[in-house]
Amino acid sequence: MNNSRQNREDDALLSAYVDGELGPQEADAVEKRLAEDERARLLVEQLRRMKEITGAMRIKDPPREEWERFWQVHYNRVERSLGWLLFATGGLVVLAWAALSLINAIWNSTALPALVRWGSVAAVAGVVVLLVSVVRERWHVRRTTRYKDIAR
Amino acid sequence: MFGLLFSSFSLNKPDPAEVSPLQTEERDGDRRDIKLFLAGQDRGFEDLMNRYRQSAYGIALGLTGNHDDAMDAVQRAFISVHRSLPRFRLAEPFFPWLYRIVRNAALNQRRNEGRHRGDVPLEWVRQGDGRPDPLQQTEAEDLRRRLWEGIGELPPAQREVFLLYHFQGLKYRRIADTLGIPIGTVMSRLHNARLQLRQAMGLESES
Repeated sequence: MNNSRQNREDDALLSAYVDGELGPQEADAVEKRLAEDERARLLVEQLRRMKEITGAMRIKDPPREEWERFWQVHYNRVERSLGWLLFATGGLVVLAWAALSLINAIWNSTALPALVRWGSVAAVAGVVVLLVSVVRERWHVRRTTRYKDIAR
Repeated sequence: MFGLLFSSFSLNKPDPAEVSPLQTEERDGDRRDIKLFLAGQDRGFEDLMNRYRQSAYGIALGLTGNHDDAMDAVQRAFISVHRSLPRFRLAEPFFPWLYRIVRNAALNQRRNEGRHRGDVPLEWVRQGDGRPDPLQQTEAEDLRRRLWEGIGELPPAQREVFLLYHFQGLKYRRIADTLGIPIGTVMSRLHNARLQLRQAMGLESES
């Protein structure tokens, strides 16, 4: 462990000390350090000042009317998201059925040359493979990436 | 010496199973409301979310940087909670679960790379009737603005720890549980955030 990292870690204990988060042994050790180290005393003073300032502030709550509107919009959006879900599910089912019917019609058509029939089946199979691959990749990334929450 | 201490330090650690009376009461209230909602009563959902709406808003605001994006993120998060609540495990505490949903919604919502803009959404909690003189008032406004801008400049991992500690009032242990990180990481992130804000707020030169 190099010195600067060790210093940073030692200093972090000062923050925990100001917050009253240290156990008695650690607090004693920090107090000993403070008795000897002027830089640490200055840092603790600044950390206390910052805590005092942030402790005197809070995040403003949006006005009551805004929350009332919020709830009206909430239920509308829940309803609509259900509507979209049903629509998308239904659409996918119909599309899948249409695709299957089309493949069936092409495959069984005696008017079309064999090459076209095989080509159509290959194209559809390609789309299915691509779709599965993309879905699988996204699923894998979602499960494993450590950086998924980092906004681009 | 302190390096050794750091590697083996024991912050004020409660027993993992230990839950404060306030937390127990909060958990009981959450469970009651969730059960009401699952029984088909929207009132349970509203009571539950009204209890956490200010926290959710504060988290989203800190991560998106402005009121409009924060309200949109909270709206999306609440819809997500509405949809996912039947899958929530009642034995678990509700806040860390909600926190993750709000955080994801806020990070997806953020459009301006965390640059905090618009009105400063912090306010001073005044004590008594003492009004600051005009000079103090200007300084106070300036400090408020610099703090908010400084929060916007923090790396996201430090920012969320800072917000959870200072504006949600969570202790180190609860922050660690909520974020799923070691308590030492909470301590170092919070400290680094403070060092950066100390510069932004001009506290270094003050001493």
